[in-house]
Amino acid sequence: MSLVSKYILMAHRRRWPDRSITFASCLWLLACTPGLRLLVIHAMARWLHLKRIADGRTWYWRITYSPLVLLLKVAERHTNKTDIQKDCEIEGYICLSDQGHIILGAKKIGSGSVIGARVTIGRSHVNGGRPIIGRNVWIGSDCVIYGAISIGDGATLLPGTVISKNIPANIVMQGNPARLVLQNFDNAELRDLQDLDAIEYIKTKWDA
Amino acid sequence: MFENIRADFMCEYRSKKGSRSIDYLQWLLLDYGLQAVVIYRFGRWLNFLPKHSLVWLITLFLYPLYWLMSAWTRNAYGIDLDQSADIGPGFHIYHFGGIEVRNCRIGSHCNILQQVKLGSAKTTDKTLVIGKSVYIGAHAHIYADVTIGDGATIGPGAVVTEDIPPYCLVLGNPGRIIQRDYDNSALL
Repeated sequence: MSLVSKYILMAHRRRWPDRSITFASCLWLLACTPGLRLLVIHAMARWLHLKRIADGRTWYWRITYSPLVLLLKVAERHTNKTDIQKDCEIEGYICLSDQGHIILGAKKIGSGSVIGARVTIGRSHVNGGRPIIGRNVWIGSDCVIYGAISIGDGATLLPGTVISKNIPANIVMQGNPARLVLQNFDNAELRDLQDLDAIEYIKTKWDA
Repeated sequence: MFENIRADFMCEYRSKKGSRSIDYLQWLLLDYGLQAVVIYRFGRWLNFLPKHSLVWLITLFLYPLYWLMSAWTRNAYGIDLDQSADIGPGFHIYHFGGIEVRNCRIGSHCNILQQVKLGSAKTTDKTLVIGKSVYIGAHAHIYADVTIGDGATIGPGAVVTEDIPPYCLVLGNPGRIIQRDYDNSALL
């Protein structure tokens, strides 16, 4: 499970940049960050899902691994109200909020994206299309993204945005209905911040 | 109670287009919205039981059961269906988390999604009234005491502050009527 160890190492480096990585600190990190736990459980569920597709539905996959993964997923749903569909492809490490209420049903999410609390990314009930999120996208809290759309690399969606149309790269959107705020915005600093500081950062950029 | 619960299961059956039969036990365990609605119906049934002396003995044991189960759906799933809400048959909840329904009257065959908040906190004689087969999208908030007509569609993230006539599509914050004569039969 190289993907799981990669997720844990990336999260460790992000959270404690100056601390040395030990087995105990990795366990502590898993225990105290629900966002990372969710990602790790999704990696396990997706690994099982792909294995099942490759082998066909064989009884031993069902008996050995799926009860454990189902138990972990249900526990995560009950504690954090979060759910990631198993057919949602996540490439590389993404940062999920620890506050929960996240429901992800995207077709693909690019690496380096940051997803805030109470975010819904899902299919449209009209035609069933699912969104494709690019790399290094910063999605604020309370965002809703739905429909068969694609969001460009490095886009920034400020908190409370509702998106149902294609978004080009390196752009800042806000509001419901969503409108363009800034173009050619580099959100690298924004993605490095933790959740609480991000709001203050946006405010300083607003005044400037 | 049982007619309403049967209608809820039929609604769930329609939303799962691939399934062949109604699997009562599995759906009750794995579909949190359905579970919450069934527990809400049980609470309403308890409230409207005839007030005889012997019935009082039964409710003495059933009320704590209802309180425990409703506390479970509130805390574990984040679905808060208050008893002050009057929900018609065929109510369907997609997903879970952050759902609050209180002080409102909802018609039959309505759908709501996650993070939907319905009903104002104050208790006046005027309440929020929602018609039949209304679709309310994710993260929609309706706090005002307004009337929403039959077959209306409230889009994702919409905040409704005014009365909505029947068969309208409402989007945005503040909510605006985008299209009249919108057919939401594909959504329900």
